[in-house]
Amino acid sequence: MKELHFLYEMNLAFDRPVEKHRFTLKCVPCSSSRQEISKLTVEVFPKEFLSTDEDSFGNYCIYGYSEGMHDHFSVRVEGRAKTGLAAWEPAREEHCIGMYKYQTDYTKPGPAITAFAGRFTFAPDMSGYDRALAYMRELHERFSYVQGVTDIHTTAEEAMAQGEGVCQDYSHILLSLCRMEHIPARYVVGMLMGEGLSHAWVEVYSGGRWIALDPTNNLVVDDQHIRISVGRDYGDCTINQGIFVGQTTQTQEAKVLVEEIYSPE
Amino acid sequence: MQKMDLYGHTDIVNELLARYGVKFGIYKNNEFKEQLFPFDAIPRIIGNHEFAYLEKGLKQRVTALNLFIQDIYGDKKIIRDKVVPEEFVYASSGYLAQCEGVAAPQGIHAHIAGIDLVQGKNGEWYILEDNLRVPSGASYPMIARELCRRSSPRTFQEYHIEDNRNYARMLRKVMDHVNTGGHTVILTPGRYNAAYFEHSYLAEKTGAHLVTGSELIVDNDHLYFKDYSGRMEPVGAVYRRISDEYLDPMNFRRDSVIGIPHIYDIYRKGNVALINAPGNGVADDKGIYYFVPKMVTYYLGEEPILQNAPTYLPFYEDDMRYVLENFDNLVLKDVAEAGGYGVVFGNKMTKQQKEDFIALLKKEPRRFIAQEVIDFLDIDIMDEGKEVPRKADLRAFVLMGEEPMVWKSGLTRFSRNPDSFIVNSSQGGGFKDTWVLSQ
Repeated sequence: MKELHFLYEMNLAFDRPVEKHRFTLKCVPCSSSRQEISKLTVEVFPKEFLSTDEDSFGNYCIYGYSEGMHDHFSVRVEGRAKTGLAAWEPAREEHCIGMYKYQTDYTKPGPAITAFAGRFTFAPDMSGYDRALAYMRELHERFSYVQGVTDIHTTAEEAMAQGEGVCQDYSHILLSLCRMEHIPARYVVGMLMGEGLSHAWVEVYSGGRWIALDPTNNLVVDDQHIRISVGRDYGDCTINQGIFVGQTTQTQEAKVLVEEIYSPE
Repeated sequence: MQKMDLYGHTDIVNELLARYGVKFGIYKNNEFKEQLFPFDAIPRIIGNHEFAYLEKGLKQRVTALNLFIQDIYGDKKIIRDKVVPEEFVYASSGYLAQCEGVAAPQGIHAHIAGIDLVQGKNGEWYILEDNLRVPSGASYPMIARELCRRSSPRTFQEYHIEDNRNYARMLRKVMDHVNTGGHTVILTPGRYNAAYFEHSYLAEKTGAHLVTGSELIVDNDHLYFKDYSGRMEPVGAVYRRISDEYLDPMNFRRDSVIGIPHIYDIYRKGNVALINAPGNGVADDKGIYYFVPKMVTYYLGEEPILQNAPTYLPFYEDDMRYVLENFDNLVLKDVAEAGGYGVVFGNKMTKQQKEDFIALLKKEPRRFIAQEVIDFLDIDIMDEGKEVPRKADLRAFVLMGEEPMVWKSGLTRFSRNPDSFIVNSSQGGGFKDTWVLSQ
C-alpha cells in the first residue's frame, strides 16, 4: 500500500487560433476497491461549459465546449491516491463482462499473433489468470519496447508483426491473446509512479475478479499504478478527444508526475 | 379483378411523382445518381381479416424486439438463460458498447420498425427481415395514394380502403410521446441522401422542423435548434435519419461531419429523445433474425403469430450439415450486409464459386444464414400495357408509442426483372401502393 501524489497536465497549442472546440476528457482517476482518490482538483481552460458523466464502461468523463477563438487548451488534474488497497477489483456488474471477450479492430489477431499463441499449450484446468500470466511472460521476452515505431492507430497484429512498440501495443497484444482464449480482458489507461507519460496496461477477468497485469513491465499491478479508465481497447479510453473549427497545426504536451508521500509516522 | 379506372392514370401519377421529387438516390462507383422510383398503379390489396392477423403478429414481434434491445443493453437475461448465444450479440456489428446501461426515454428503442414480409404461394406470410435502425419507405405509398386519389377519385369511391394519410399523425404521436421537452425535429444528412424526399415529406406532414446537423447544438446538457437569427430553441425529440455511426463524432465515428457533437452524452442523461434509439442494429442483424420467434416466446410467453422464412444457422452443427446437403435449394445471406447485397443463391453458383463459398462458410460460420427459397406469390404489374406477374414483398410499418400501432398500408416493392427475387429499391425495383380493405 502506498499514498501517492499525482499530477496530470496536458497543453494543446494551436499555431493559428481555433473556435467551436468540443472536447471529451477521460483523465480523472476514481476511487475503487484498489485505490482511494482524495484532494482532487480539475482545471480545464478555456471553456464555455463543462459537464460530467459516467460512460458505458464506468469511466468518469468530462465534456465541454469552448466557443470563442483560442490558441491553447489546457487540462490539469491533481490529487492523492491510496493504492494497492486490494489485489483485485470485483466485477461491478457480472452482465457487463461479455463485451470484453470479443476482439475489436485494434485487437483482431492475424498470422503473427496466431503464430505466437500457437506456441502455448495449457492444461484444461488452468485459470484464465495463469494463462494470461504465461502470455505476459513470453511477450515480454519476445517483444521490445521501442518508442516511435508505432502510433495510436497501430493494431495488435501490426505491432506483433514488427516485434516492437510501446505500452499501448503490449496491452493490445495481450488483450488479443486473452480473447483468443475466451478470457475477458480490458484495456486500462492510468499513471505509473515517476515522471513521464500516461501508461496503459490490462485487466483480465478470472475467477469473478479483475486482475491487473502490466505487460510492458512484466508485472502484476500492485501499488505503483493509478487507474484512470477502462475499455475494450485504446479507442474507448482516449484521454483527450476534441474537434474544433480552424485550420491549424496543434502540438500536444502531456506530463504525468506521480510521487510517493511519506507519512511522518 | 376488373380493370380499375386508376390504371389509365399510371403515367400521370409517375409524372407527378417525378415533379414532386420522389426519387431514390444511389451511390454507384462513387457517383451520386438519382433515379425515379417507378410506381405501378395496380395496388396490392389485403383483406380486412387478413390484415388484422398481420397486425396482431407485427405488434407482437416488434414488442418482443423492443424488449430484446432493452435487455441486451441492460440485464442480458436472454443471454444468461442461453436463448441467444452471446457471440451473436457481441460480435454483431450492430451491437454498440456505448449503449450499455443507457435507458431510452419511455423505454422505447424501436420507435419505427419496417418489417419486410413476403407471401408464399400457399398464402402463408413469412417475415424476411426486421429493420429497426432507420427504415425508410413510408412516404412513397403516402404520396402515391394522394396522387392516385387526385387522378382517379372514382376508384376510391368504389373501393373501401383504409385511409393511409394517418401515418403522419401516428408518427407525430410517437415523437410527442418520447419528447423530453422542446421542439421535434427531423435530422437529415442533406439532399444527397437516398431518402431525402422522404425526410422533407415527413417533416412537412408531421409539422416537425427539417434540420441538418449544423443547425443543432448541445449547450449546458441540452439540445438546441439554432435558427438563422442565432436564436436558440430547445429540442426534445430528434427523428434522426442518419445512422448511429455518424450521429455524434465525440461518441461514434470521429470523422463524421454530419453529426452533432455530444448529442449522445445528453441522450444518456435523458435530456433528449433519439428516434430510433442508437444500438438497435443488434436486433435486426440477419444472424439475430433466427432468434426472433424465440424472443417472442421468451419475453411474452406467447406463441409467435408470424413465422420466419425457414432459416438455418451454420453456426450450429446440425444446421451446417443441412446447409451443405441442401446447398442448391438455399439462399445464403451475409449477416453484415443490407439492401439486397451479400445475397447468393446456391443453384446460381458455378462449381468454383460454390467451392470457394463453402470454404468461406466453414471458416466463418457465424457470418452467414441460409434460408429456403420461398415460392413467392407473384403479383401483377403493368409492363408496357400488359399485366405480368412479378416477385414482390411488403414492408409493413410498426410504430411504438404508448402502445404499438401498425400502419394500415405499407410499401410493396417489386422486382422489374421476371427472374429476380431481389426487390430492393436500391437495386432498381419499383413500388406499389398497399390497400387494406376497411370491410
